[in-house]
Amino acid sequence: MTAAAATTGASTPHSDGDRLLDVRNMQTRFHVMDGVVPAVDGVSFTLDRGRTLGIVGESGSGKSVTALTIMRLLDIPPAEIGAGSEAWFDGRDLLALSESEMRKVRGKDIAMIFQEPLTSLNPVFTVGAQIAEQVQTHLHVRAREAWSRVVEMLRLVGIPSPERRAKQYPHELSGGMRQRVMIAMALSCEPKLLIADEPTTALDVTVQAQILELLKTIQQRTGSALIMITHDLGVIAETVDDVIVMYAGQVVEQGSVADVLLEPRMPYTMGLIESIPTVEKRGGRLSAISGVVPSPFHLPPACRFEPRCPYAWDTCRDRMPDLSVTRDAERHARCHLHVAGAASRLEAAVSQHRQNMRVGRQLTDSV
Amino acid sequence: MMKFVTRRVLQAIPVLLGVTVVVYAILLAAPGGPEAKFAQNPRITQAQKDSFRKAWGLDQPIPIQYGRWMGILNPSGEGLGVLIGPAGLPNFLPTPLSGATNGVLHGDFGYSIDSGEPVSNRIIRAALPTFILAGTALVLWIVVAIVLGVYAAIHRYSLFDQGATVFAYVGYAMPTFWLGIMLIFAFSGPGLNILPAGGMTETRISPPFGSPEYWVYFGSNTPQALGDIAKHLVLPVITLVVVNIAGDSRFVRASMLESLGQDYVRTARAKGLPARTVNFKHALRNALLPVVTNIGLEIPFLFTGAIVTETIFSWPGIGKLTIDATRDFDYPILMGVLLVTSVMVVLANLLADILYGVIDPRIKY
Amino acid sequence: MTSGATTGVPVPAEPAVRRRLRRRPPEPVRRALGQYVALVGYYLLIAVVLLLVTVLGVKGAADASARLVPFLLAAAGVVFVGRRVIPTRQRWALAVAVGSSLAVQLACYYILVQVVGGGATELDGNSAFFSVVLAAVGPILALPAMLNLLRARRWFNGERERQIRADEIGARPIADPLMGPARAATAALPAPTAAPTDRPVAAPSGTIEIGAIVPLPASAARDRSAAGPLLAVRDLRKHFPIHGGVLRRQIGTVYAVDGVTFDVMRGETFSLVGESGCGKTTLGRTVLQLTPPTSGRVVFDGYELEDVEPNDMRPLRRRMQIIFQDPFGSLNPRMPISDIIGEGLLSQGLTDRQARDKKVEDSLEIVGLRREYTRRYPHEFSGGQRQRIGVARALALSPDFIVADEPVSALDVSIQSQVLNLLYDLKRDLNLTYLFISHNLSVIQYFSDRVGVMYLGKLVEIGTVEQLYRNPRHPYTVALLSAIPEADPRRRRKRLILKGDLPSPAAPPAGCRFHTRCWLRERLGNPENCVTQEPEVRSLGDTGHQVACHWTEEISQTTVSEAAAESPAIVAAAVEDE
Ligand SMILES: Nc1ncnc2c1ncn2[C@@H]1O[C@H](COP(=O)(O)OP(=O)(O)OP(=O)(O)O)[C@@H](O)[C@H]1O
Ligand SMILES: Nc1ncnc2c1ncn2[C@@H]1O[C@H](COP(=O)(O)OP(=O)(O)OP(=O)(O)O)[C@@H](O)[C@H]1O
Ligand code: SF4
Ligand code: SF4
Ligand SMILES: [Mg+2]
Ligand SMILES: [Mg+2]
Repeated sequence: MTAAAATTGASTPHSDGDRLLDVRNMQTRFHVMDGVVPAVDGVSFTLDRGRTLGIVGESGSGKSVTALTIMRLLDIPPAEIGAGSEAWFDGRDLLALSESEMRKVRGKDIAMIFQEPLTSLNPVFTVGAQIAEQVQTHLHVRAREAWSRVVEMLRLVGIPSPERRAKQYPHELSGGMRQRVMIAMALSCEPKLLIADEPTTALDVTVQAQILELLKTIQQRTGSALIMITHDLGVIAETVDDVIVMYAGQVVEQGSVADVLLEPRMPYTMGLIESIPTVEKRGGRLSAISGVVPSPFHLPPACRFEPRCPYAWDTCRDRMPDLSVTRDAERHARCHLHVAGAASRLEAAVSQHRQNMRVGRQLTDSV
Repeated sequence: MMKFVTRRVLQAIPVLLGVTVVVYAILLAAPGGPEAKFAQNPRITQAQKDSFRKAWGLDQPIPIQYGRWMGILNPSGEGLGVLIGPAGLPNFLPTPLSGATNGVLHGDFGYSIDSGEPVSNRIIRAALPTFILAGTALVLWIVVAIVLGVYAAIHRYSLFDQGATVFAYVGYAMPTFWLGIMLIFAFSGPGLNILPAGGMTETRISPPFGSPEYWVYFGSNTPQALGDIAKHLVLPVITLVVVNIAGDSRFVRASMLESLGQDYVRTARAKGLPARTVNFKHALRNALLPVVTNIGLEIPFLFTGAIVTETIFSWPGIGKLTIDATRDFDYPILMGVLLVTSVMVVLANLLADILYGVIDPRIKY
Repeated sequence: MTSGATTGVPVPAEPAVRRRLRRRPPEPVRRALGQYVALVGYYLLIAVVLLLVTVLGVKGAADASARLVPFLLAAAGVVFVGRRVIPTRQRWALAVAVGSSLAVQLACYYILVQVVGGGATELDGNSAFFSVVLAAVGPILALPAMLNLLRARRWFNGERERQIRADEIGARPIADPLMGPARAATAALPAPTAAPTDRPVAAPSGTIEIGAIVPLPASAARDRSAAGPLLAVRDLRKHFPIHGGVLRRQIGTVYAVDGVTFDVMRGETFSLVGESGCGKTTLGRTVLQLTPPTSGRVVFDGYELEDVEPNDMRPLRRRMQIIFQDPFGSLNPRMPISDIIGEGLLSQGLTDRQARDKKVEDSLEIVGLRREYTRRYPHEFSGGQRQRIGVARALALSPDFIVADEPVSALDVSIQSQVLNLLYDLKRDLNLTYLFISHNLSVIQYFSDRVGVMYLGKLVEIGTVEQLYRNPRHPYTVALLSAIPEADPRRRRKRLILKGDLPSPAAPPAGCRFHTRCWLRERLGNPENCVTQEPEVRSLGDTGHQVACHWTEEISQTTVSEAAAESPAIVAAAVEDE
């Protein structure tokens, strides 16, 4: 299978004992009224202990569904997890665990933070009670000890006078504070893996900076691994070591942050980076990716990016490209530009990308 | 909280006043009157009818009648003097100041035209059976609707859920009077005669409910008397609540489903909590918020529904009193019942709001 | 800005306006006018109902109509006359209006006493009852109308409103004695610098290019020399009351926009940036008079918007359009695209269906959608396409000024760049002026000419993009810029992170509103004037760069990097805590 190649092909500097999460050929479909949505289609990746991984992609590309499948939080039906899917976590396949075993993993070994801090907290319970509930479930401690843990966690995430705040309801806290509560809750049982699904999208830029800083610091301090899901390349660049780029349910590029963001090797990633407005592009048009994301019911038969790709040629319409190792090694891209015969096309694409990154007028030019 | 209650009560006063004005006007403007019962009696002369109307004050213009009933106007005053009470101060002031004793403002609901009894006595006598009926119905209604709805939501699309859906549609579509008659036919008809068809007590063994003799009997034979009432309650209660249960179990189901789809439920599951905790602690409490309001709004309909039900089952409650009074044009009784039920509607809504504030910390009064 | 801003297609020709502009009467008078209309309507309605009831033959109705209908008609007439004379602003008109209201009330009371007293009337019970009810309602409407007029008695000063000939609109300002000619109005406004700075702006040593005055880009300079600003906003305020308590009284005020002053030049993109809740949307809506301002002036192309009679706003409204933030919520899902876009045209008097459809199709084409889409409904479009429809709706009226309220915030990056390109092309080709609202600093930097930074309802810094992004002079701007996550991993740097959240706009901090979170104040050892004295907006030299901070001179490369280095790893979530 295509994705398996990616996993086995990836030579990591760590031994297998360091491997925390190994997702193989994960497929998640939704059966809805109009048909079947292949929300996640053969996604594979690995994550080592203490490392950070970013998942980036546009709305609907399957980022959240990937995380929710790992957490087994999707309702089945309408969701359906493909037969060959595996998610090895610490030596166990999460997708094969019984529900009661999985319950012991959730919140204890893997914790998750969601996008909307207001709706993700239950409005009718105090924030302290909501954290304490989790502590008591997993650590089997008495109410008083759980409460002192709550206060300790709230203090850790920078909430002033935590004793008082713990007794407040979510609506009495600001957006940034609610997200801190979510983080405190997620970290309360010292998970090995923290999944943050767009943790700062709903927040203001100054508060976002606080939360990102907090996540980074705490992640370093506790040594847990982190999966950061976002559509903001800036957030990715700030927080993670490695990144996977998703498009229409598939991983299209994979590698270290510096590699992927500075030298993208897949036309979609290139387009994504080019369309970020920056100083250099002032005074000119942005180079935008034309068209829209394909409907999940009418995916292009071969390369899913083909209708929007400026470099597409016949091969792209015939065969779906594999997620294969690029020539720079250490990185993977799902694109025919990397097959042996397309070297000149790749050259052209890369130089075009370099040029697009410089369009517009430099600030000083106008003076 | 006290402030909120005070405000709501103060707000209710003009509403209640307005309701009495409108209803009074409509009642009295309608053709016919208490003297209609003499219409077929050739021995009653027109003069006698007129003096009957005069005796009850029915010859006065509606505003005057209303003013007297309310206690704003002095029935024995002349000209603008009607506004002044016996003690020389405006009539609407409390009794110690104005000396007036007539009208609702001074606690006097008047006398039944039909029986000459004070209105308050008759209402109080009829209230207890209605409370027994409506109270039982209310408890049954809320418990069954919530259990049905929650269970159906958690096991969505199961056989149980589909059965509940069918029950809801059938129950909702059935007219109350038809259901009542069918129940009587089924359970106390010639075939399966296991439940009484009407009344509140077995007249052959116990004195009529509410009379002094009844309470003597009740004191000496408590278990037997209670069992008797319970047996009589079964059919009327079912008649009364089927529609409500049908509607509200759907409502609870929808509300529960919505709540189960919320982000905080996903958070609760992501925390590794057992399904029971997720469903009954996190989802249910939020799902009940709209249900409480809805039930608060529906309680008045329980009482209007009781009018029909009480008539079918000859239950000696407020509903039956209302029907009888309407037939006899017994204005004071009708107005008294109206005022009491309006007050109860206001109180029920207030209660629902307070309850809402108790379960939802975001609401501050 | 390229030269496109000034070359490009000429502004669409102004259609002939057939309206006259009148000044809007003050609030109490407007209310009284409405109440008079309601009163007349009420009397006429009752008369009609009575006659109807009489025709239907209800008992006692004939008697009641015979007595009441003449009275009702007379009352309606008296009130109507009162209403008609009010706009003359004559003193006698005030007397007539108040007098008519008074007369009607007294008549109503008279009926009331007659009927209740029972003596002088032979009406039977029921008719009497209904006459009481209707007689009681009259004064309820008439009394407040009278009080409103008395409150505004000064407005009746005998000066007739001068009406302006239609052809003066667009070409010339409203020639109102109070308003003065348009250009003069703008010129007479205090300059955007609220207060002349008596403190000379020194160039401290070791700064990031401080004092190195960045010259204006040539095109901007040219724009500015064109005839004055298109939009001038002076000390604009918009406060929202908060209601609560037992009697739903006002228990507080949200100072959503609190004293904002700026100019937008012709052909310029002026951007507003700030955190959620700082008042950007409110400011945009208030500028367009979609919500009436609490105080302050908005002068659009020489017209004092607040003084324009609402009916006469229409031709001006056409020239100012808004694009909303939410591409999903802002389009009525039950209307086809042709109606969504054509609605504005219809309200501007374009009743010819075919001409309207043509115009709708044209504007769809301009925004890059197919002409056939007019029959479709919003749900058939993607987010980016919907936002284009929003743009088309604004463009259909050929405006020259567009408020774009976060037009790309709800869109994905790849779609965002498409919409930004569209807005960019339109501006170039149609010579539009934008008031661009966003919280995304990268988008603003790419898209705008000048930027105003908002904090809690106030503008704390205004400058060109070059000035602001290279040489920020307000501590808040510095922190805001430092907080942008940078997509280029090479530019990773230590950030300056602010403490806490935005305080509530209902209880803004005293003195400088930023003092609760200000890193500069902390570094300077908490100087007192930050808390006691509200910093005024002052100009830095004559570069057009304005800032509202007492200590702006202390901002330098060193202070910034020191503050960044010292900021703790875990920043407190709140600052106001005990
Ligand atoms: N419960 C569901 N039922 C049906 N389809 C679903 C469901 N959840 C997600 N999908 C579909 O799966 C696809 C992937 O969705 P997903 O939420 O993973 O996107 P995402 O990358 O997280 O996007 P966003 O940035 O908007 O959060 C989408 O096409 C979505 O419509
Ligand atoms: N109609 C209203 N009534 C009362 N308060 C209001 C009203 N409209 C806005 N506000 C308040 O005014 C303040 C400013 O709101 P505004 O919507 O202008 O902010 P904004 O800067 O546009 O924020 P965002 O980035 O979230 O859109 C907020 O505190 C808001 O709650
Ligand atoms: S495979 Fe072809 S169409 Fe697909 S991204 Fe690569 S070049 Fe473009
Ligand atoms: S005036 Fe004081 S508190 Fe305000 S921004 Fe300047 S230094 Fe900070
Ligand atoms: Mg998502
Ligand atoms: Mg806004």
